[in-house]
Amino acid sequence: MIEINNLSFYYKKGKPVFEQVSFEMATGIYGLLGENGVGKSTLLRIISGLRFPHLGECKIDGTDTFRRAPDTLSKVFYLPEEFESPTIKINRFIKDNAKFYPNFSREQFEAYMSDFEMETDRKFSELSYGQKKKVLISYGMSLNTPYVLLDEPTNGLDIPSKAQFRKVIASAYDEDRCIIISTHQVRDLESLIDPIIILDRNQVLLNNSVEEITRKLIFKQTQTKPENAFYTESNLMGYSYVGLNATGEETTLNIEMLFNAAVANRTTFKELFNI
Amino acid sequence: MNNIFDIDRFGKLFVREFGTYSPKLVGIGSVGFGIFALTVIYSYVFESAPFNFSFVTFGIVLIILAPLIFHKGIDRIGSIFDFTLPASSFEKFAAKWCLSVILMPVFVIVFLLLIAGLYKVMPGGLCFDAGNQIIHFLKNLSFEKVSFISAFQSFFLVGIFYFRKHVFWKVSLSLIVYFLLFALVFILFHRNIFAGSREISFATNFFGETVFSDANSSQSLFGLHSNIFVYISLNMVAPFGLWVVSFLKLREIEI
Repeated sequence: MIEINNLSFYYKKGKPVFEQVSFEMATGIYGLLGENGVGKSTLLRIISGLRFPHLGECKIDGTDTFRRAPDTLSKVFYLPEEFESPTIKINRFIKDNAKFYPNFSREQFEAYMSDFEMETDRKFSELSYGQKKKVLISYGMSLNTPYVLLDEPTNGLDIPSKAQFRKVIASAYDEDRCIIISTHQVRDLESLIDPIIILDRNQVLLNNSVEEITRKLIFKQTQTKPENAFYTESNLMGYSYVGLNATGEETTLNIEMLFNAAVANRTTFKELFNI
Repeated sequence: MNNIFDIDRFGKLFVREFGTYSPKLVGIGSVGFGIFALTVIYSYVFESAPFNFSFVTFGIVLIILAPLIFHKGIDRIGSIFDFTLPASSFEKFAAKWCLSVILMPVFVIVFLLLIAGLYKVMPGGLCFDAGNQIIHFLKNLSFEKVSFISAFQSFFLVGIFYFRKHVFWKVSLSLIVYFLLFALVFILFHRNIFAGSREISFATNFFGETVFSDANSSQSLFGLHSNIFVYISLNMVAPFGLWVVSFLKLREIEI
């Protein structure tokens, strides 16, 4: 379990990225959402031990991540949005690095690479950004670490690759794993992510499962402009809106609408979801 | 799992690091042998001793700059897979230390022995003395000389963890500032003892054998080794202290 207790972090004094933030992440494919600059990537860096909390703590299975203990690091794979890939061959990279992860499976790696239609005997320097990302996603998922942190994983992937990515993540996920995906491309991952975390201005605005969200909110389409909706969007068919689910109706979550509704109704959402 | 040092994990890390940087050693060796070939050609063309290239200095510079050679810089994008690799900070430091403090000197000694051997077997005997000079240097390596080289090297080891860019220039500048401050402290200390009546100067050769001198005193502090502060600073504190500082700095680096 990832535990974040009273975490405060800033790059510049007086401009906190996080202030006294507390929440937990257990298992699931977490969608980490938030506007630009709210600290999604910073949070992933803190969890992976690359950045240290200024106050409070971030722990993985009870160990502070800032210690960079090998047994903690061997449980985490972090794929950053920007990375400098090695210049060596893919096979060499795998040989040099995968041996540090006890649950790495070469067969899985090759299967994921095959899903992405990639060859393993090429040099990183010959690959495009999207192809490098596919290699690193395949590598990360085949390490079988209990915690996988992916920062904007679908950026740079072409349209077929996004579907392949969803397939790889779905096949790699099991109930003991915690996969955290930070993304702006919510439509790419709509069917995949559950629970959802929304970060906003030093705080967590929402950290709930899809079931909890749809129990409390409805996502509907109507011809006339609805009243008392948290968020309304006009389209060719009328209006899409997010409202309070007073009748227990089951509707399908629209993550983009949820995000806009949460950002427009910060206090209400915090009260509604007991943050 | 031992979270500080595990020999198996360290072995894997060392092999990974060696694999990453071994092409550089091949490159350096090739350049060295290229220079050797040129000096021999010069010797035969002009029927004289080989062109005066100091392989000993070349080797010493390689050892001093080894931390830079075995390092690719620390930045928030390029170092992620190094810092998230499941090995302890101590093991990561120890791998760098072994490459710089053990592997590079071994490489340089083997390289120098090969060059010396080749010079000595060159037909005509024109290069024989050049080979002997290298052998003479290796035979006369003392603890003080090794410590002195280690001290300089340890500044660069600290530098690669303290500075993210332009490490060579920043460390070189720091070294100049360090020795100027050192000289200042020495002079002030010396003046207090001799009531300011002495004319004190300082200069250095490669091994600092005339670092500071007092021209007026019959008991001049000629030579590095006659001053206990210089001796301790360069032979003990600098390498060992700076290795510890390097490790502590590596542990607290955030990217």
